[in-house]
Amino acid sequence: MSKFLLLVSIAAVLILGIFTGCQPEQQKVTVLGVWGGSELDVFNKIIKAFQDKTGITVEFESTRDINTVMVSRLQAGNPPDIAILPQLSLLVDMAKQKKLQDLSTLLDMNELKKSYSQSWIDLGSVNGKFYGLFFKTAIKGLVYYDPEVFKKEGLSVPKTWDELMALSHKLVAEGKTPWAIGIESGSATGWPATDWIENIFVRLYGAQKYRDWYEGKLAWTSDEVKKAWQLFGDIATNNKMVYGGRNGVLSTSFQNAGDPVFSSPPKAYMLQQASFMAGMLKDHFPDLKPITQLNFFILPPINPQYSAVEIGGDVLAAFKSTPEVKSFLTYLASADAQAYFAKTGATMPNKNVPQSAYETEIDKRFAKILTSANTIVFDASDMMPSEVNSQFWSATVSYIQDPTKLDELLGKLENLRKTAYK
Amino acid sequence: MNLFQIALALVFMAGIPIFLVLYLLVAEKLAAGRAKKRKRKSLLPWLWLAPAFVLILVFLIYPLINTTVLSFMNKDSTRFVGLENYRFVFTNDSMLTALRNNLLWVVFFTLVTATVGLVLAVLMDRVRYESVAKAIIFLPACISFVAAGVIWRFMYTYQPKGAAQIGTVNAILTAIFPNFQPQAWLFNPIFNNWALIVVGIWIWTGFALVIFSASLKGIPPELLEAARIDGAGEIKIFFKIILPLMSQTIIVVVTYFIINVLKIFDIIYVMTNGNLGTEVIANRMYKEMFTFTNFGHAGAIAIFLLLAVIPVMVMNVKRFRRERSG
Repeated sequence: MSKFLLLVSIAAVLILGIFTGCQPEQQKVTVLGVWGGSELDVFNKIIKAFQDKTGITVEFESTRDINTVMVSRLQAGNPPDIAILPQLSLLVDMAKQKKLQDLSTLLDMNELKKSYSQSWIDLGSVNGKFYGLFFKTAIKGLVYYDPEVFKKEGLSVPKTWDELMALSHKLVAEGKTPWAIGIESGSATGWPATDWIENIFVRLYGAQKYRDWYEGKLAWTSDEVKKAWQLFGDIATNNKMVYGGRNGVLSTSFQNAGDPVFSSPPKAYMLQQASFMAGMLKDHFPDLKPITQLNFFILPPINPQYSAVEIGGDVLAAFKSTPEVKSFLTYLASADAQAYFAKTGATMPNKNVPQSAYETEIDKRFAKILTSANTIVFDASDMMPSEVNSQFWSATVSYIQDPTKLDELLGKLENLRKTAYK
Repeated sequence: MNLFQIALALVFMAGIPIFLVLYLLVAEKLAAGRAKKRKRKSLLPWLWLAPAFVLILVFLIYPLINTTVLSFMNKDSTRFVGLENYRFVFTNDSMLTALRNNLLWVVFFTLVTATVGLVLAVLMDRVRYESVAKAIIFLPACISFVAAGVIWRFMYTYQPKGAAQIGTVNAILTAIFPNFQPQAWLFNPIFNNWALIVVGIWIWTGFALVIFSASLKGIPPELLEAARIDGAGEIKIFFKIILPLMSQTIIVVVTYFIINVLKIFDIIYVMTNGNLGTEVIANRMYKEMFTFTNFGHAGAIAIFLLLAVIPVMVMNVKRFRRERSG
């Protein structure tokens, strides 16, 4: 019997130990994000600089599937302190569920406005409250080309959409393939096509209509939306316009899409992608000389009265309002912290990041586009509710597979719009 | 802090078995003290089973009830919406595609995998290098679905005609038939579902083969010999002796496949994510739950999936009972 009592008391001690075992207290911020590889290396440098300055530890948790992890952790009542979100729709969802901290209570807004233009703050606001701090961004709607090839073949950079299409048709007439497009991207397949359509839309109808569109106030079956799809389709669904034809567009991953443009001899002439593509192209073709062999122009205007730059990017959201979170967010918003990412070719929203922080000429040009833009619009599909975004992606896939289905696809998106915005 | 977490994990790992042993000891002591001998005998099994019941309650029954409740609520579970989510399951375009595809999977995947597995088992039974051949066919079963999906995405890679075909399938076909037009296997709605089902078959055939082969070895050789002496041909022996004797195993394997294939997810998620008419129920459930955070839709799909599996399970349990009594 005494043996038995002994066992029971051991168990009791063990169990008590589990529940009262106190964790050593320390100043700490937990961050959840999608970064890995080189992006994570840079972020770790930022974390280190912050730790050296303040003594606060930052724990970064990386996941490729941030939606899943975010949803389950919110359900479990265990969100991270800060999340770095690649899609604004997730921010909007969580803001509406009142899970997020109003950043204007965490950050010194007067200070922030000295380095962040109002459009960034507006983009990161939901129902008038400031929830998302833009951090690392990429410019979309850039057309990469090889200036040497253009020169050799007597082609000039188009200034208008008509010139762009004239150039494309001229190349087709010569038996050449003007465009390289690849929209495959795992479970996000289709996004490069949505970028195309968005860039066309904003050039056709301007930022205000663009906003109506992603806010669900414009029907997918409207002439405006359809026109944007058709202009994209003129290129992407024309087997002679794109390398590999429609099947090539569908099955080429966006990372490899530019290869035909820069291979020698070139198999295509232009690639529309975001600013981060420059880095990928440099990785694929290390011998390419920037500016002379690898350069870009912005997708030309369609209606000259509308000029807007579309961007995508990562946005910071806070779930807790501890002093450590405040301190880390303030640091991340600073030009000091953002200069680290500027070195890698990302365009940073803080306008006080010095030009010298951008290392290559191409990166400097990206930064200039962003700081000199009159109107900045965010990737529309990433602003739509996630089910609309997802269906938009997959509708572009179906459209390229079978362009005759356009009306049916837009009809389905319109049905979804009617229920998804609530 | 990481040390603390590791320590905590260790305490739990050691703590749970210790706790269970102690629980049994205490329970038995208490039972011994209180009740009469006969009563104790009927009480003890329940005491022993209680921890398992608690686990089932927490991890199975409670989520089941909760999911059922959620399936009658709106997107963020704040309002009762009746059968609205079930209406979605049976009327939404993507869901209808998913239902059709799951049916396709259940019928063709199960049929082909079981048949091929059975034929291979019988044929391989007659060759000397049986174990090597079996091992080769079984290998894919050791790979995770996700890895298999990635491998097959490479195999199905499309390159335009004239370019180097880096996808195995197109490379082989263009090598054999120079006029063959390379196909985008995963992007052509005419055959992309079949291309996906082939991946499933590739993974699972080895599993079926191994089970069938084991069952085949259980058939007494004298029986087959007697049949041969009586003048039965090999095909007749297969249909009249081998097949009936293996029927139980076949039913088990088929049931297992049906249940698994109703839940098929990884291959589709990795290879097409349901684009171009390849959606399946489980992938749709995942999207509703984690991408769209629509708990109502996800709950209704989950319950539907559960209901779809139940008849198969009931059949299986019934057969199991018959076997034991007979």
